Amino acid sequence: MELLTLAVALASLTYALGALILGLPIPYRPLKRWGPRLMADAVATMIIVSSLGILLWLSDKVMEIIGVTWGNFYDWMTVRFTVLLAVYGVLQYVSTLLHSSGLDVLIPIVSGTVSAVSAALTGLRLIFFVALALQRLRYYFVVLGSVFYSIPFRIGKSVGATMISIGLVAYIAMPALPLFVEAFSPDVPGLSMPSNQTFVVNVKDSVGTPVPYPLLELRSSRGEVEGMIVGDMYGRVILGGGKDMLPPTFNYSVRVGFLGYYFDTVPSFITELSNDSTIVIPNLVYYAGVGVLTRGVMMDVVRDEPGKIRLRVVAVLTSPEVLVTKVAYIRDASVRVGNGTYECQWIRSYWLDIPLDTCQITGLEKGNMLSIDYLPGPYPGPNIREKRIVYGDSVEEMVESLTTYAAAVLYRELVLPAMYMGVVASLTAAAARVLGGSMRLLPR
Amino acid sequence: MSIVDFVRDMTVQVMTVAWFVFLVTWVIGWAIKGSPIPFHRVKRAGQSLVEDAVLAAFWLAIGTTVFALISYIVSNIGTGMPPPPQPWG
Repeated sequence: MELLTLAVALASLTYALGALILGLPIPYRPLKRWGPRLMADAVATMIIVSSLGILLWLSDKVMEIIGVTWGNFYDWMTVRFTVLLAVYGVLQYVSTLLHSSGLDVLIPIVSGTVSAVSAALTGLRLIFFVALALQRLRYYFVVLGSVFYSIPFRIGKSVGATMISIGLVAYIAMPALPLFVEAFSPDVPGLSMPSNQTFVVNVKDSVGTPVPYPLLELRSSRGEVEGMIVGDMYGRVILGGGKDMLPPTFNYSVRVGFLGYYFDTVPSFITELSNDSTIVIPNLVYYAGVGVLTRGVMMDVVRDEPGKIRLRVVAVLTSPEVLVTKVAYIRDASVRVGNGTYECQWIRSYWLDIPLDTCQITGLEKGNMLSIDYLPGPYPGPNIREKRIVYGDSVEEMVESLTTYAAAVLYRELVLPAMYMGVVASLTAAAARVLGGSMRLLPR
Repeated sequence: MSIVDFVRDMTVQVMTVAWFVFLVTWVIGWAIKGSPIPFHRVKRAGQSLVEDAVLAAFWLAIGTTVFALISYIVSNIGTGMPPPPQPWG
């Protein structure tokens, strides 16, 4: 109110100055012309100051007629923020996923989308700030504009006119941003992300003991290696779950790499039909760092506990082969066949940085008991860079989806609001010109 | 002294000067108009000075009245209501 009084006082001063100049005993036209000019300015200022309340009320009415409210505007902004932040998070996750899948070549595409999203976020933040300032400071804009407007000799007329226009026009136009964006925005396609479905494959030996850190090799029907995935210490291999891009249906034939060998399993394939499947390595008995691999020999497990493995030969088929393989740092391993000690020739080898000792057992006959005593120890995981499953169509679909989404987000969240801000600025400038610019309603 | 009072004081001073200037201009105007100088342009300047002075006086009188009224309304419109009457204890 103090500011309004000041504006009125300034207008009175302007008027008095106008009358003074008009009454000056100097017959110089350019000087005399300032008299009526200042008086007209003072009257205009007085009209604007007197009708400020009506103008503010009118702008509120116009908002009501258009059907826009500041509440809806902030709701819309909040939704946009939430969606963009969620998309930002998802894209970061996809980036990590691509890195772990070895698809680093696609990361720039995701980064491009991330840049688009963050640019949109910055733009929205800016608009939000401007809108907040407009809404909170609208009254001050108008009143302070009146004060500037009423300064004598048109010193602050343009600034004042602009501020009054901002308080009146931009205040109405700003909350209509959602209407504009919704009217001109294309349908933003949903972001196609890899399936989040998880498949667990439990790898066990012939007795049912979990095989720690199994290296699961998955091959497609064409025989190509689609994935090399290491399981955990409990023999569980997780497929999908955000790490793999699995096709909607699949049938992978599998083998398990363990103790330096690749074993066929039962069943020999996994499909999408079962989320939790178990595959068994039939010719392996493993316990705490030592494994017995058999071929052409049927053996019955008599005892299986830490440090003591007892196997009885049930049948010997053609070309039998039995191997005892242990992790190299398992100590005090003694092998006996029947009652006699078997002199093992431990052969050292390395498989994926795991040192292994292998002993071939020969001369087994039906009814023989194979005993292995040792100090049990853990099996270290193989040191291998996993090859996660990346289904080609998923990648194509994702890249297409990402690029389309980036373009749509840029257009919808950045270009359209920027255009609208331009429109608002033009409207405000036009209103300012009507009040005090070159396109004047009031006389010069 | 607030800035509003300062501006008001200045307005009053400017108005006083304006009234004085009006009188001076009016007198000068008539003096020029009535002077024995047979130049039409000089006489017209005197006539124009008298016209301007009268116009200025007219607008000054009207304007100051209206402006003072508006100023009075504006400065009183935001004044709160007087406190309600207190009952006798």
